[in-house]
Amino acid sequence: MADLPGIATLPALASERLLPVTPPLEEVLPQRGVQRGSSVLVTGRSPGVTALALELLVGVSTSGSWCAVAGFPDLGLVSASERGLDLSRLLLVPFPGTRERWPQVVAALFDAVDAVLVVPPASLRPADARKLAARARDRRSVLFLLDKQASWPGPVDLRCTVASSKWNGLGSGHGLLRQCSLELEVSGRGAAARPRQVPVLLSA
Amino acid sequence: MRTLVVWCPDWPLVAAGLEGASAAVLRGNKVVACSALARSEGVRPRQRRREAESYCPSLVLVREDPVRDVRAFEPVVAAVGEFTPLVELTRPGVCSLPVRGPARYFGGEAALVSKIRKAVDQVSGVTCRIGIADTPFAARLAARNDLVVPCGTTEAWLAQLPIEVLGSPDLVDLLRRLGLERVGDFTALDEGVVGARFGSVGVDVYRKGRGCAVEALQLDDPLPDLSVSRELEDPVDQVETVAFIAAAAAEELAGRLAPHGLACTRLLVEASSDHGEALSRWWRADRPFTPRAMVDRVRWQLEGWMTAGVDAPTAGITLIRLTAGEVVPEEGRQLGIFGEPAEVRERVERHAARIQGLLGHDAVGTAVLVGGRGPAEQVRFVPFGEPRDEQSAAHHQPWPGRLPSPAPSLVFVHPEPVSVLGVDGRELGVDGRGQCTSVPVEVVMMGSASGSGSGSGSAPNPVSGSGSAPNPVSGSGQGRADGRLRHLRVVAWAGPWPAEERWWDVQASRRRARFQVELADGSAHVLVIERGRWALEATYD
Repeated sequence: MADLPGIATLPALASERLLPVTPPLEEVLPQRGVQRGSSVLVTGRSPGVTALALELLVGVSTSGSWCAVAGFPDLGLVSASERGLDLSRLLLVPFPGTRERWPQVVAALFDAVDAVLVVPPASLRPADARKLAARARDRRSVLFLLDKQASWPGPVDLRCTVASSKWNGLGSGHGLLRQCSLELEVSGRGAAARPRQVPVLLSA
Repeated sequence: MRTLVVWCPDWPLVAAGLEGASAAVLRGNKVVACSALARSEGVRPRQRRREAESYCPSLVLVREDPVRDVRAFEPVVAAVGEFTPLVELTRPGVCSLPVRGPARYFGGEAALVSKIRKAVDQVSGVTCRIGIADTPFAARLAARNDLVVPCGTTEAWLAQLPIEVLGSPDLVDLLRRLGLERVGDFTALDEGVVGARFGSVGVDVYRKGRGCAVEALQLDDPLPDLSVSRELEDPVDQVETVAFIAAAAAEELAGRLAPHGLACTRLLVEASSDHGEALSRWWRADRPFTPRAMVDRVRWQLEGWMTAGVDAPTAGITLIRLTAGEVVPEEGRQLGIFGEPAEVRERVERHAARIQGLLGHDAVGTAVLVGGRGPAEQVRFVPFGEPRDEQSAAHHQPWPGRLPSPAPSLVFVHPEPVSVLGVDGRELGVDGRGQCTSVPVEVVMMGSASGSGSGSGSAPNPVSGSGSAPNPVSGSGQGRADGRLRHLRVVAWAGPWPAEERWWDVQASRRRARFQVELADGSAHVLVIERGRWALEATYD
């Protein structure tokens, strides 16, 4: 049946709504993927938050989609590339402008690409935050929010909090940072309504 | 076809205004052209820059710029175009025309040559060399010697030239090793034998040598007027209205180019208001502009201008002009080679250009990995629309002193000064042999740990180092300098990775050493020491 044109099976329909994630994160997300049109908040005060956000973006990038990063001039792009992010399909807007321009620019990014990683400014108005989440839903793009203080004033569909983390590999005077083992708390709406604790091992 | 070739020697230097100095034009690190003065000092094309400089220490060097060359050559082409409209531009500095008609009209080949020479001298001040022969190829060779080869003697004239003039270095090298020194030695062979031994490449070269025309002159009409403007009787202050009018102009411009099989990749959009304020901006695309893409550029430019605040026009728009700045053969729009649907690429391009209209050209881009030791030096920001010359090879070559992967996920635009204390409570140092003076025990940093100031764009400077305005909202608001010092114990560490760069250059040389540290609060960082000062360069996060 699935081979016939115009007929799609239920799993195929579901996968069309989902953007893939990398293997370490499959157990983390309730549907083993990121739902198109959703907003995902990555937060936590322990190290590993940026690594987690990048890892989420890598999944989208490896499926061939374009991604964008806005408002994050300090992002380590070598690290992004090492994780598998395709830099030729990653749009960067390091400084997305002042208070008035910011929402306009990020909204334009949703028109352009399938996933946008945003570091929201602290002074963002709740109305703008709601508009952006709605824009992502409308364009079937994903809004990834990297926000350590969790100060995002709008609603989110999924919230990944790094509860604790530990580095592996470095000794005293020898060794090299290899991996970061994170303890994640995942909560949200729908399939993610029941909060869960998941351990994850990411490259440093 | 009997052809006349006008050759202006050392054109790239003439275009750069340096033909009188000892100067050379560089492509990458290689000399591609040099002036007569430089040549007399021993500078030659294909030399490396340093080699050329060793022959002539006072050598003036300029980058190759084909656009500059073409622009400067334009008056020469126009002057030659006075004699016949059928001028073909071979490359900047060389143009050719069919000689039969004009020669009859202007009183013979000799008279035509002297007339053209005078005309070119008048517009450019350059004494050009002119050659006439029975084929375009032979005429180009004749132009080198400023020679008119009489009609019907081209084959004999070519026969006595050294075999190198045929081009195709590989084939010529082989022929020379076979003992064929002159073109005539080669063309004396039977064409069938040449074809059997050297294939179609050999036959092409053979025919060139025989003076048979293998290339035809492109007898194009002169290019049409490449500028379309619309004057509005009533000033318009609605962007959409102007865009609507611009749409007709864009269709007309594309319509003028299409019959010539051309499309434009660089577009000048000029708008002016009733009060005389004007804004013009060049737009470039790596694929030809469709009329719709042109209109998009008009819309974004006007949107950016009319909502600019300070510089916004004070009256409605009265004039809009589109000019094609660079035309290329239209090859049709194709799917991306790697299966990326063209619409996806087009969508990204369109919206990226829209953001560029809002924030400036340098505000949107992609990153390219380049060679380097420090985490920040390994990335180059390329504004969107400019070519991404991928130098990933340089990135993957060994860079002694580079921290091994994995790379840190936060690399600070402005590294924060810190201090690192050793066992003895004194600041840690690294000696000339790359050894630590002690063991790092404690790191002292300002205010809150940068590890928790996620991606806080503490710096208002863009990565590209120019452009966009300071940005008060980009930070996550976490104050870094609240005046208190934080003392953090070092839990684990590795290093140093010493990196000595450009030690041969007193001004630019840098000696640095990097450490990886894991601190008591669980954060991990890259610390760098240079001239006894420590800085927190990057964070693993």
